[in-house]
Amino acid sequence: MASIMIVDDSNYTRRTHRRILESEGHTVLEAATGMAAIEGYFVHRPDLVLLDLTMEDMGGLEVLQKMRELQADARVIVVSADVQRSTARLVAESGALRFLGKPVTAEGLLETVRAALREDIA
Amino acid sequence: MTTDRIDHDALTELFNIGLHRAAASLSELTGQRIVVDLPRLWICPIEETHQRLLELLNGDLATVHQIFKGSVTGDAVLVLEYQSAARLADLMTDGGVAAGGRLDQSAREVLTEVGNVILSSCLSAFGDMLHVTVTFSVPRIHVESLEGLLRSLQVDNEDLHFALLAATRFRLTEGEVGGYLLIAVGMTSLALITDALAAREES
Amino acid sequence: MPADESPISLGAESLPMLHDLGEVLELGILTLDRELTVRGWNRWLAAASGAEPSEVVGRPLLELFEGLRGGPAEEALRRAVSGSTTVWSHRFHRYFLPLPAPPGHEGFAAMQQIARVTPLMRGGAVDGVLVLIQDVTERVAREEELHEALRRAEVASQAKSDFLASMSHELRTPLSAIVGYMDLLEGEMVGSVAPLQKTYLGRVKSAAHHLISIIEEILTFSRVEAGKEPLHTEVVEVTALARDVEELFEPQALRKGLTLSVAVPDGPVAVRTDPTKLRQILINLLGNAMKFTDAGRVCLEMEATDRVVFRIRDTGPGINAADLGRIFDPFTQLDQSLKRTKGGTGLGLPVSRRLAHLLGGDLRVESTAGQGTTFTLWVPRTSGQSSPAGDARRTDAEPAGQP
Repeated sequence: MASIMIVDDSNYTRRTHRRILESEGHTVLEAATGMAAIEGYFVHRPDLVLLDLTMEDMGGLEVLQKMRELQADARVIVVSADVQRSTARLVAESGALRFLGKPVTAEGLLETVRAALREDIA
Repeated sequence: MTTDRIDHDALTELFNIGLHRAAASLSELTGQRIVVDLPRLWICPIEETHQRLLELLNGDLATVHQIFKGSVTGDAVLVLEYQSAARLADLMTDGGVAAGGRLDQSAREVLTEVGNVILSSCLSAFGDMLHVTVTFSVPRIHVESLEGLLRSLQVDNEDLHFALLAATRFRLTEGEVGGYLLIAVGMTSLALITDALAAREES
Repeated sequence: MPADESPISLGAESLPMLHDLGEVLELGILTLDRELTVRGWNRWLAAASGAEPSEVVGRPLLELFEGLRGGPAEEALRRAVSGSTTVWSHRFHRYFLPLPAPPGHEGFAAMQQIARVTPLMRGGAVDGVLVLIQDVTERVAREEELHEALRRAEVASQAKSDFLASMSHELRTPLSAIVGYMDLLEGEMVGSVAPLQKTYLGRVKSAAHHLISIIEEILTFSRVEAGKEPLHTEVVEVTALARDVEELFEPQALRKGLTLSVAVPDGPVAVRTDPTKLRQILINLLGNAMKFTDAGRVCLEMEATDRVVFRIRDTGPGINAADLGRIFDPFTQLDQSLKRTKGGTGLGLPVSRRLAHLLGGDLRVESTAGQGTTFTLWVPRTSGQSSPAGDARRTDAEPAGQP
């Protein structure tokens, strides 16, 4: 249905999330680093990005910023283990559509993806 | 069994989630923003842990130790160098509890509670993600040498024991501290964990 | 050190025993069932709260203490019901159960507590919750006092440092100006100077230098007294240092017709110490010997074993037994008439001794009236702390005189 890019430095997470998304019929792209994510976004222009916050080369928020510079109406869902309240606020302020805490459930992920794809970006 | 079958990446993710949950709880507790680094993970037979830890740590250690039981059993230990422990206690209480770098009564209590939160969060994360149930004991704080720590780990009737050692840093506004999480489990428990991880992926 | 086999497995019959134990150990023992209804409330809790067991047993805890609802205490209790143990520190939570502060600590809003929340097991399943409560108000009060005292001491210490630093600067600035202008005048940079004028200029300059050395002495004394004189250690070859110091006094020896000699071991002697301070002590001692000896000899001897020993002997008037005891006391000069003729602040020896202690050694004196004096200074091969400047508070080895 939609092309979704998973950005996460954990192989395990990318595999798990890929399986869930493909079961719903989505096409999945993977990026293991911030740089790869930005390049991938530029080349493939996926409909939606699932973005982890803690990566070695670049912070997730920085990646988010760069993506929105490339395309103002980029649809990004932040998926992170960092479940502090202050983080959720920072994420919202940076323009992400949704925030999901890890570990995700299959239904939770799919529902959030559906909602984000439906959303109208002004 | 050897440690080859173990999905290093998956276990790292497990610790990652546990530590982040701990950070969130600690954040609520202290009112500060706490960021944890992605843990580096080592898995080795328990006999090798001594050597490994000797390479990583210096001097006296401050440890918080909890035993866990349930479908998986073992020991969970938060290991810090003495100075790091004092620093962590200070950072958590916004200065003053471990003044002069000493772990007095109050500082130890703070560390016990902080250690409790960290260990419980990690063990709960394990429990949640692997659908195993664990209960845990009273957390105990010890200030001792490396040998003392290793000797205090439970010995049950299993022949083979493994250690999962995760290194992480806790970053607060006023400073940061590095520490280690040691989970020691018997062969049976490790097999259970590995199977549960694999099963989870297929679900 | 084996850790607990917890959670605690206890049958109902054991609860009274537990309560009694609580009395003996002065702990609050609260037991709840799985629904968090109060089952046990020991005498300690009754005394601390003013509520008798009959008033609370059988009632839900969260109804008795509404304030606990939705807070961390309730969360800890719920976790206990699912099998986990939590230990609380007073630093984060202040208290588990809101109870009045104990007598004498009315300054606290409530009793400061440490709590432990543990599941009670029966037959392998969670049967209830046990909460152990300890009153740590006294300890918290002590700790706060200690921290306050530490803080005040730090502020005072910092104030002292600031004062000494600014005094130093304030005193040196005008003195430099005096000496500077003297040099210009003496050097005929602003016009020619008659011989008699030159002589007088020389005397003014000499007095200025003298004043400078007195001020240095006072400042050093103040700094050492305040524990603010840091140690700057390095490896020093002390035979050379001893020879240098002796050379300084050769002109004076010549003028007074005294024999000045130095005796050092043949090979080099290396010591880890603060060379400036060591030099200061030796100059002071040798200077004193030169000052008070009008005829005969002054010698500086050095010996190196597991420590380095300097002996300064003179054939001066000596010091009588009664005065020997006071010789290292500040601001005392033994013979008032001597003071007027010889000058000085009376600080030289006390400072030298303090400095010797700073270096990890000591300064002693032996003398007999009419037969001369020997000062013995020894320093260890490795002095004091090897870290430079850094923590100025801990550098003075002698406790006397500390704030």
